[in-house]
Order: sequence, then structure tokens, then C-alpha cells
Amino acid sequence: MVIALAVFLPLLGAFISVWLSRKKPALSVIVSQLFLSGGLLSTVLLSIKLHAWNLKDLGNSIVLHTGVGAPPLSINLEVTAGAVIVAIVVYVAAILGVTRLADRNVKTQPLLLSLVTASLGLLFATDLFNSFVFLEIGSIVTIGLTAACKCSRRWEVAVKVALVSGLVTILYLLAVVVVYKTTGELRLEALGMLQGIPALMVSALMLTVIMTEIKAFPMSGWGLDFYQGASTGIAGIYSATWSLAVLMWSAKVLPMLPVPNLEILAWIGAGGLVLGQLAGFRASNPGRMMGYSSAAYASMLLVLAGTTTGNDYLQLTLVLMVFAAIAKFSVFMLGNPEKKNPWKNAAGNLLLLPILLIIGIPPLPVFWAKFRLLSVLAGVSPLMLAAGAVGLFLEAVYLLRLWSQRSVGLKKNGRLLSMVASVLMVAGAVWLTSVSWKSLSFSGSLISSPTLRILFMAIFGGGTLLSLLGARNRIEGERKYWFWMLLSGVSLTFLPLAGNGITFYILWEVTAFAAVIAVSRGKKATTGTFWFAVFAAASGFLLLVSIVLSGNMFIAPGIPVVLAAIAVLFKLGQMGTHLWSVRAYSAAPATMPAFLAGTSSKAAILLLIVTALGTGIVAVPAGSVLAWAGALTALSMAVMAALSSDYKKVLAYASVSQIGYILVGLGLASVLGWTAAIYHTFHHFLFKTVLFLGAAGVIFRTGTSDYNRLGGLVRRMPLTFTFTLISVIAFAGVPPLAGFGGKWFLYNGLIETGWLPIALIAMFASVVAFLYAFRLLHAVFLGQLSSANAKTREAPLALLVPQGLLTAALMLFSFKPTLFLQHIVPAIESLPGLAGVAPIIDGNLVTTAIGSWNAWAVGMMVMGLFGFAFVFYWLSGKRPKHVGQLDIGFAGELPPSPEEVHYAGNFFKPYRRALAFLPRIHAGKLFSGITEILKIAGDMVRAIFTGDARTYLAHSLIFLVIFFFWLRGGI
Amino acid sequence: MYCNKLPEIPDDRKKIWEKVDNMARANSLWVTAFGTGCGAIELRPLHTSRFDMERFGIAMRPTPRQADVLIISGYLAVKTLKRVIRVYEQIQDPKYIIALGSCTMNGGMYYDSYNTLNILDRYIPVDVYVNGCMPRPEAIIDGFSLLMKKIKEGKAEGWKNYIENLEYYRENQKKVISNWDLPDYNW
Amino acid sequence: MTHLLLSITVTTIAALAWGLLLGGISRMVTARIHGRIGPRLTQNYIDLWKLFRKKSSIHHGTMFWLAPMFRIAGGAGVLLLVPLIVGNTVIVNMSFSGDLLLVVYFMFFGCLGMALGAGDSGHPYAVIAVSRGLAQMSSYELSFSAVILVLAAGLKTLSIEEIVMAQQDGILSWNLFRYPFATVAALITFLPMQMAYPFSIVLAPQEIPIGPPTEYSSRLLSFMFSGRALFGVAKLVLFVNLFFGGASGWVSLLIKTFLLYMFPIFVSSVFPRFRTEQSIRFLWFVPTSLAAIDLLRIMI
Repeated sequence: MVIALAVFLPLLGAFISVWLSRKKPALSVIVSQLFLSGGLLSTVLLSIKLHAWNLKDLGNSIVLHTGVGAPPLSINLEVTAGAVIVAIVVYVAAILGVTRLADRNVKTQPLLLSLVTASLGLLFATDLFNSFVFLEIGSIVTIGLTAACKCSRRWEVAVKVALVSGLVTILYLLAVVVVYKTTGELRLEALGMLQGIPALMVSALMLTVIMTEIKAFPMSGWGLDFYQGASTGIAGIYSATWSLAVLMWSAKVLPMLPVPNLEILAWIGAGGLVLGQLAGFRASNPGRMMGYSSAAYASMLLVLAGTTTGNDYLQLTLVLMVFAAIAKFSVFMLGNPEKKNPWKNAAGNLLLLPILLIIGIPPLPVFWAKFRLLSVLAGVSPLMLAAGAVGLFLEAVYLLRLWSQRSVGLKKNGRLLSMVASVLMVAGAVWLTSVSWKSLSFSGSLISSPTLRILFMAIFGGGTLLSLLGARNRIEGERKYWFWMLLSGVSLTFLPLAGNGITFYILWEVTAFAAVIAVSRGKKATTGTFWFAVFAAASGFLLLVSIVLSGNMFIAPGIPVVLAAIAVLFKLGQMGTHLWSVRAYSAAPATMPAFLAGTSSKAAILLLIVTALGTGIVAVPAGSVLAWAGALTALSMAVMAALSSDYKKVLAYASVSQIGYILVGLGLASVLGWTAAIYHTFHHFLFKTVLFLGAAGVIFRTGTSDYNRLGGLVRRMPLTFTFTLISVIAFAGVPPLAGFGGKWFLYNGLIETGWLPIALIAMFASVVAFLYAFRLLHAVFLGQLSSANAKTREAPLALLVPQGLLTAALMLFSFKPTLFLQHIVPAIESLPGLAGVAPIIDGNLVTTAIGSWNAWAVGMMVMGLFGFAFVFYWLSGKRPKHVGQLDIGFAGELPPSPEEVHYAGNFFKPYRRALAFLPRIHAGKLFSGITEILKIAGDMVRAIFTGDARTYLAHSLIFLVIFFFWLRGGI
Repeated sequence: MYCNKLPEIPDDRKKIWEKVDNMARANSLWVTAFGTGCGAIELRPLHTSRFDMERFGIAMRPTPRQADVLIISGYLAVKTLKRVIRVYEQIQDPKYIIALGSCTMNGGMYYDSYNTLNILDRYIPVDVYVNGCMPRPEAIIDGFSLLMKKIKEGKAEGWKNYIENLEYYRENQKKVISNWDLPDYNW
Repeated sequence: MTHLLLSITVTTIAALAWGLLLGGISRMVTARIHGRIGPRLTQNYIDLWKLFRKKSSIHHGTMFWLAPMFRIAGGAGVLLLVPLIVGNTVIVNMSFSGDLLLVVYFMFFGCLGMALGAGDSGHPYAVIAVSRGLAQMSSYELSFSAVILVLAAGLKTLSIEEIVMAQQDGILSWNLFRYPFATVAALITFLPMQMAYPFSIVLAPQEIPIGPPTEYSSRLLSFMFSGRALFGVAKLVLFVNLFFGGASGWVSLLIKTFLLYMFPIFVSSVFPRFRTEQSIRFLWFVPTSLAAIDLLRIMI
């Protein structure tokens, strides 16, 4: 009874609302809602009855016979647990959709209600002919809905849908005829009984039908045109009701196809995934992007059907399809159908959640399915894994572009509907996370040394807290971002505790994408965010594949290590991939770069350490690759930093350059090298956070990060200057401040190991660091105070306090590095597999095999000499007179204005000239080159989508013929 | 943007040191590189091996901040006076002025020009005049030795005079410089 | 502790005196090369005293008048970190507290202070000079780093004391003969370090009035001079230690530093000045290639 209600209440509602809509449209909407709510209630009851929510046994079912006879004369319904969950989604989508359509004054409630009935019927159908009936209803209603919407291309789209439906109907009926003729049955299971040529015929026919219906590549053309041409409301409702139902029905049918080997389906799917997404790479219309994404999910369905069975298959298809449908619904609801570009004003944040979900960012539900899917693919063939990962990444790229191109502002109801969908998605995340909770582990077993674990947690936790303090101070045009920073920071803090691959990956991705969102809150963050997001996605996919290949225990030797290393390079924004970090840092709001560069980048270091430990310390050749990469990065980025004239950009380049040293240290795979790396990691955290917070204060007060418009701020912001000065001296590696220690250990290690060329490059890089260090101090704080900044105040307290704390720590560890080293060195020594001799710490003296360093003595000496000179000066005569900033010996002239005598732009011009002999290598060109190749390949693929319905029919028919002969094994 | 304080006259109580200091000052005269007129051409030979002024400890400094001596080398135009004032006031105390040529005394051959200052003493305190048109390098060296003598005797106190009578000098300066835009004192 | 303080005081004052005297000698020598008589031997002392006793002075900000202190601390610091006499246990100063790397990196301390002061002066020429100076410094440090690597990897130590001890078996054990190419490279880098022509692009009085200290006057300038003199002596002692067998006694220290000091003077007197980028490129390629020869010899 409940089933019947669930399926047929909407139909009843449809009739009533047809009757009502003539006279009382408002009432008709309410009635529709009532009927749909009734249906929803009954499906929820069913789901509880079937224990659907623990996902344990999705095949669990109840069967309902209606009418008198057996099928095909009557309608028989089998309600499985999986299908019920889908049904709930369909109902929710329909309820929301009715509201939407009512708002747009489209009198299509009856059609919508019929579509719901058709969807549910298809979901629950048990035989071929019933399915046919519902398929027909659905197609016809879709045509009707499309034609009824208020958009210019409605007829064109409706005709295409109609033509394709017609072809599908013919092929489907042919298949049914063959099945009935051969077996005398019409149950779906009858498909499996076929043998010989009929089996091949039916397989080819059914697969063509299914692939056309679910819009799998290469038959996705009509779907693309549909999503692009139909109004966003109709497209959204369609995707979450009928399209979802067809997908799930196909999921039911596909494993029953009498194909000799189901793996064929997986290959078709994998190929379609890569080619289809390649075609989508260049899509610019959001609707079309959704269409391509839809094709991706269809391909994934084929892959799943070919590779998994039983409850696994049901679970994966259910999670993938249902949540993708919700997400797509949400995206479409945000579009404004009356606009030429419906998404022009879509709200970025609401748009982000569904997009992240479709991409499969943890802990959003689709992630769990994608993770398992890739694991399964890894078991089948590496090629298929590669195809899957590449396809999914390409999808991620264009979806992220969709998000980053949006601008703010939205109609009210769209936001409401989308928020409901968002709630569903979040609920799904919670639900699936709770279901899969047991697979996570927080034992911290990836890093065997508790000291290092504590160190990293302290860096992450402390960095997050200190960066958060300043997050209140935003310059005009930036939006609140503290929550995302907090989320990113919290998951980061738990990263050292991760006990297995999947846990690490989840924390990693949450960190990355929470940071992406935080960056997107910046003033002009569009491009920066896009690059950041793409690289975060790329590094995520690489790490995912690496973990999947290693079987969830952490990174195994071989290809996984290489992939993980590339992921690290992407994450760190090392040479070649520094584009994202530089762009993101300069786009990000206020204190976000401090968090990203100071704190978050250390996650990649952690991953490297974990990888090295997991594989028993990187063997020397691999380590030398790492060290070379690190050294070259350190040098090239230092030069870039010296020649760049934007405060944030310089810090970003500097940050990348400094991390190069850490890579060199880790690559050494010796105790000294690792000591250098860990030492530098910690101190880099201290001084880089101070520097970026200082920059945040300057930019907050002056509103600019352009060197040419800053200068002389030491007079207005003495505290910020002091902190920045100390940090700059520290990172430049000038004794007696802390940065020297890292370099000292590093060179000791390099000389010990005998890697002299690397040592030379690293030393050269550390001198080039002076260039940008001084330029930074001069251009921002020294020189002439411009008139525009004459009334600037000191940075807000919330930014000064963290800087003060970190600077104090920096000073402490500068003079007493042994406080830090006496814990770190034994911890590193205890790690297995490191070569070389550990440094000996005796009081304040640190000794290696070749050198010694007493920071305390040097510090005292410098303080003593400086103090003596100071006191001597003070006592030896009158104080000098403080003069005005323009009182300079300017050849007897009065300087025209502070700006004209402030030398900040084009600062190291001779250096640029001296470098002129080098070919101009621009990392951007590498990536634009890759992009161009992908675009060309994509253009070649998408040339098959001509926009002509006849072509689309031809695709289906050609596929049918080819597939039939392929199955037959020749003509 | 500019310091507007006026200079103070230093107290010279430590007489013993003063003698030693004056010896040092006399033997280490650093000259601002600033040619105000045609006489600057006669300064160049002083560097050469023929005249070699470095043997007296005289050196050229490119910036007034580090110099002790300002040489007004020839006729001084009204336009140049403004620059001379700024350069002179930027030199740190004690500082001296040597004026070269007849033009600086009475205008010389430009005595009736509309823009040449005839009597330099009214505008800035000159310690030593060197006669001639133009004076030869030997004469300039002679001027220097006169200045050194004066310094040793503690009599080269034009700079003190300038500070004490700043109002008088300013009045005269402002009289000839119509577009006066310098600060109260050029530190 | 008293002994250490005493030794530090004596060393610093003696080095200051020696440094200023060397400056005086260099001015005389240059004059003689020009065919002039030149100043007195004591001219630098007189100049310093005059500057120190000037009656007024100005400053542009805190960094401006802290910079000379940086300069002095930097100069004296390097001097104190370097062992002066081989095997001398009376005057060891602070040479126990670090190795060659520490000294090399500490050499930047004074330069950085100077650069900060120049920046704070607000004078564009001062900063142009700093920009040139830093660019040039980063260039010659490339070859100097290579030289340091040659010594450290060749002698298997970074301790200056041990580097000196390794050169005590007669004149042929000096690093000058052991690593001739590296030594030549180091001597070339010594020229820009001493701001000698053709590398004197920093204190280029004809283009950018005297460079970084252009706004300095009076007592602050005298501090700057003292710091420079100290730093000069420190560099001389370091070079003597690294390449010329160290000094076995005070006399040999004075002679060796004097001779080494003359080298940039002679070169300086006969060369014109490079353009900045020419200087940078020269220093990138020529001395580095020389040092690389010895570096390769060690690696193979």
C-alpha cells in the first residue's frame, strides 16, 4: 500500500492540479506540494522499513503486484533499499522544483508530478515492458517540460530530446522483441538467460539505449544541448528526478546484460571518461559544463558496472549518482533563467559546495565513493586507474573554473532551494562519514617519532591560532574568512595524527579546500583562487592515486612515491608550480597568506617526511633529485623575489625559495640534513608568519601592496618594522639570528655527503636572498614616506600580538638554539635509515664532524659590541638632530616630492640586465602549453558534438553497429 | 617634511680640546663638489700631480653632509644663490666658505648685471676671498693655506656669525630671491 | 672573563689603528702611482678625529643612527671570530664560537646594517648604491662560496683554526699552492669586497655621491669609517688565514696583511670602473669558473 502511494500519489496529484491550474493556480501549487509531501512521507517510511540507511544490504526489497495478471500485463514493483533512497531524493527535488516553477509562473506542475511518477515507476520496475512504459512517460513529459519553459531555445531542445527518445524507443522495443521471442519472458532477469547472437544483439541494443539515455560519451551530445538550452529550473529538476531515475534504472539493468565479459563496460566507461572530460575541458557555458559532468557520472556508472558487484556496486552507484544529482540540482537552482548567462550572479559559496561535492572533496559524500572506485580500478589495471584519475581531474578543472568565474549576488528563492540542497549534501557527508568512520585512524603511526609529531602539531595549531587572531582585520572588499581558516587549521592540526592513508588524505584535502575557500574571499581573488584550486585538486588527485596504489597503508615505494613527491611539489608551489602560490597569496585576504605560507605549507613537508619514513628513507638517487629540485627552486625563486615589486608576491616567492632549503635537507637523507630541514621548517614557520602578518598590517592600513606606493613606514609603524626587521635578518641567515642555524646544518650536511654543486647553488641562493630581504625592508619601511601614507597608523593589535609572540620565540631560539635542538636531534637520530653522524650538543656548543657553532657566544659578542658602540656614541657628544624626510643633500635642490625620491621600483635593474643572456623561461608558458594541448585535444573530441540532432542519432547507431560487431568478434 | 628648527650656537667651553680639534680641522679640509661659476675650471688642476692638494689633506666630497668647505667659484647668480644657501646650510658645523675671483667681491666684470650678486658677504659668511679673474691654482692653494691658518688660530668663525645673524642674512637673501620657498633652515 | 675582555679591547683598538694606517698608506701609494705626493701617513687619523669632533650632526631616523653601530659590531665581530696568530692561546678572542661558515655569514651583518642606514636616510642615491652593492655582493659570493667549499671539502674541516694548521708544513702547504685556482678566484672576489676598481660601483662618487653613506656626517660618519677599517682588517686576517698559511707571529701578521692590502690598491689604481651588470657578470663567470676547477679536482 505504501509503495503504491509512493508511486502513484504524484500521478493523482497531477490530475487534480491539471484541473485546478485553470482556475486557481496558487491552490494547485499547494495541492501539488501536498501530494508530493505525502509521497515523500511514504518513501521515508519505506526506507526505514528496509533499513536503507546503514548501506549494509541495499538489495533488500519488497515486491508489490498490482492488477490481475502477471507482468507485462500488470505493473509489478520491487522496492529495493537503494531505490528508496533515490526516491526520497526525487521527491525532495520535486517539492523544491514545484516551488521554483511556481515562482517563475510556469504552469507545469502536472507535468512535473507525472515526471515524478515516471521516475519512481522506473526505479521500482521489475520487467522490461513496465520499464518501457515509464521510459516513454518520462521522455514525453521531459519534452513537454522543455517546451513549456520560458527560454529562447526551448523548441530546438525539445525536438532534439524527442528525436533521441524516438530512436531509443525503437531500439529498446527491438531489444524487448528479441528477448521475448527468445525467452518468452519480459522480466529484467530474462536478459541474463540469452545466449548466442540474440544475446549479442540485445546487449548491443540495450547498451546503446542505456548509454544514450544516461548521456554517456559519445552519446552525450543531446544531453549537453539539453542542459545548455533548457531553462535552469527545468534542467535542475530534470537532473534530480528523471535523469537520476534513469541512471539508477540503468545501474539495475547493466549488470544483467548478456555481455560475455562485463569488464568491456568498464573500458568503454573509462575511455568515455577521459575523452568526454577532455571535450568538456573547454566548455564555457555552465549548463554545458553540467552536461559534461553528467557524462562523467554516466561513464563512472559504466566503469562500476564492469568492475564491481553485489552490495559494493549498489552502494557506490547509489552514493555517486544520488549526491551528484543533488549537487547538480543545487547548481542549476542557483542560475537565473531570465539572464543570458544564468550564472552570472550566482552566489559563489552556495555554488562551491555542490562543485566540491561533484569533484569529490572529502568528507563530502561523493568522495567516499570515488575513493573506493579508484581503489577498485587500481585492482583492475593501472591504465584504468590512470584513465579514471585523469578524467576526474579534467572534470574538476572545468568545474572549478565555473566556480571561480562567478560573481556575487543572487535571487532569494534560488538561494533557499540551494540551501536546502546544501543541507542535504552536508547531511550526506555526516551520514557517510559516520558509516565509514571505522576506516579512519588517528593513531599517528605514520610518524614514528612523537617529538616530531608534537612539533608539527605545535606548528600547525599555533600557526592557525595566531593567524586567526588577525583575521578580523580585513581591507575593504574582502569577506569574512575566519571560519574557513579555522576549519583548514583544525584539520591541519590533526594531520600528524593520521594513522593511515585515507585519514591523511581526508585531512589534507579538507585543509587544502578550506584554504581555497578562504582565499576566494579576497578582494580580486578570481584568478588566484582558480589556480590555487586547480593545483590543490591536482595535488589531491596525485596523492589519492598514490595512496590507492599503496593500498591505503601509507605510500609504497615505486610509482606511488613519485606521485606523492609531485603532489608535494604542487602543494608547496615549487619551481614551475609556484604560479599558484604566488597568485593565491597575492589574491588572498589579509592574514590568509600568513597561514598558507607559514603554517599550511608545512603539511607538504610532513607528507615528504611521512613518505620517506614509510618507504624507509628515500634512497640517495631519489634524494639527490629532491635536493637538486630544492636547490634550483631556492635559487630561481630568490631571483624572482628580488625582481618582483609587490609586497605579497615577494613574500610568496621568498617562501617558496626558503622551502627549497628544506627539500635539500630532506633529500640529503642524513641526520644533519634532516636536522637542517626540521630546524628550518620550524624557524620558517616563525619568521614567515611574522612577515606575512606584518604585510597584512601594512596592507590593511595602506590598502596597497605595491612597493612603488609604500615606503617610509618605519616612521608610522615602528613595531611592525621591528618585527619584520628581526624576521628578515633571521631568514637571510645572518648570525646571530636563528636563520643561520638551518643553513649551517644544511651546508655541514652537504659537505659531509659531498654534494658540493648543490651546496654551491644553495649558498648562492642564500646570498640572493639578501637582495629581496633588503628590498622588502627598504621599499616598505625605509626610504621616503609617501604623502598618501603620511597619516597611517600602527597596525592593529590583533596583528601585532602574534608577531610579538613569534618574534620573542625567534629571539629565544636565536640565542639558545640548543633549547630546540636538544629535543629534535635525538628524535631525528632515532628515525630509522638516516645516514651520517648526528651533531653533538654540549651546552651551547653544537659540533659536527667538520665544524662548530656556539650561538650563545656569538649572540653575546654581537650584543656586547653593539651595546658598547651604542653607549660610546651616546656618551661621546651631543645627540644628532632629527631632520625632516626631505632634508637630504639633493644637489642644492628641494626634492620635488617624497614619491619622486623614493627608489623602489625596478630596484635591481642591473641584475635584470646581467641576467639578460638567459632565455626567458616562464613557468606560466609550461602550463599554458599544457592547457593549449588539452584544449586542442578537447576541440578535436568535441567536434563530434555538432549540435545537429541527426548527428546524435548517428552516434547512437554507429556505436550500436560497432559494438555489435566488436562483441561478435568481427564482421 | 622639512625640519623647521633653527640652529643653536655651540658652547666652546672645552678650550683645550678646541686647539687639537682646530689642528685636525685645518689639516683635513673636505670640499663640497659644487662649481657655482666659471672658476670651477681652476679647481680641477688642484687634483693633478702638478698641484696635488691632497698633500694638505684637502679632499673633494660629493655630498655637503661630509664636507667642511664650500667654494664659491666665481660670479654668483641669484638663481644659484638659492642652491648655495641650501648646500651651505646642509654642511655640518664648523664650516667655511672660500670665495674665488673678483666677481664675488664686487661683481667683477658683471658688476652691472641684473642677476649677479656683487657683494657676497651680505648673503653668506665668506671666510677667505681669493682675488683674481680667475685666480690660478697657486692662488687657490694660497687661499686654502690662509684658511688653514685662520682655523688654527680659531678665527675662521663665519659659520658662527651666520647662525648668530641668521635674520640679517635671511633678510638680504629674501630681498634678491623673489620666489623664496626654502624652509626656515636647510638642515 | 677579564682576560677575554682585555684581549678583545686590545685586538679591536690595534686593528682599528692598523686599519686606519693601512688606509693612509693606500692613499699615499695611490698618489705615488698618480705621480703625486699624496697625503700624510696619519691623514686618516686626522680625518677621523675631525669627523668625530664636528659640532653638529643630523640623523634621519632610528635605523639611520643605529647603522654605524651595526657597522662597528659587524666589523669587530668578524675580526674577533677569526683566529689571529697560529697556536696563540693568549689572544683567541671569540674564535672558539664558530667556524668559517659563521664568519662568512657574519660578514653580512655589517653590510646589512649599512644598507638599512642608507635606506633610512631617504636619499635615492644611497639606495641605488645599496642596490648595486647587494647585486654585486650576491655575485661575488657565488665564487667565494665555491672557494669556501673547496677549502672545506678539500681539508675536511670548516674550522678556520684547522684550516690554518693544515698549512703549517712549509710554504708549499699553503692553500695558495694547494688550491691555486681557488686562491686566484678568492683574490678576484677580494677586489669587490674592498670596493676596489674596477668593481667600485658602490662608492662611485662621480655617479652616486659616495653611495650608501651619502647622508652621513660628523660623528656617525666617523663610526662608519672605524667600522670599515675594522672590517677591512678582519677580511685581511681571514684571507691570510685561509690562503697564506696564517700568521706565525705579530710581525708576520702585519707583513702579510700589508702585502695583501696592497693588491687591491695596485689593481685599483690602473683600472676604470665596470658598469654594474658587467661587474656582476664578470664575477659570476670568471672567478667562479676558476674556483670550479679546484672544486672538480676535489670531487673527482
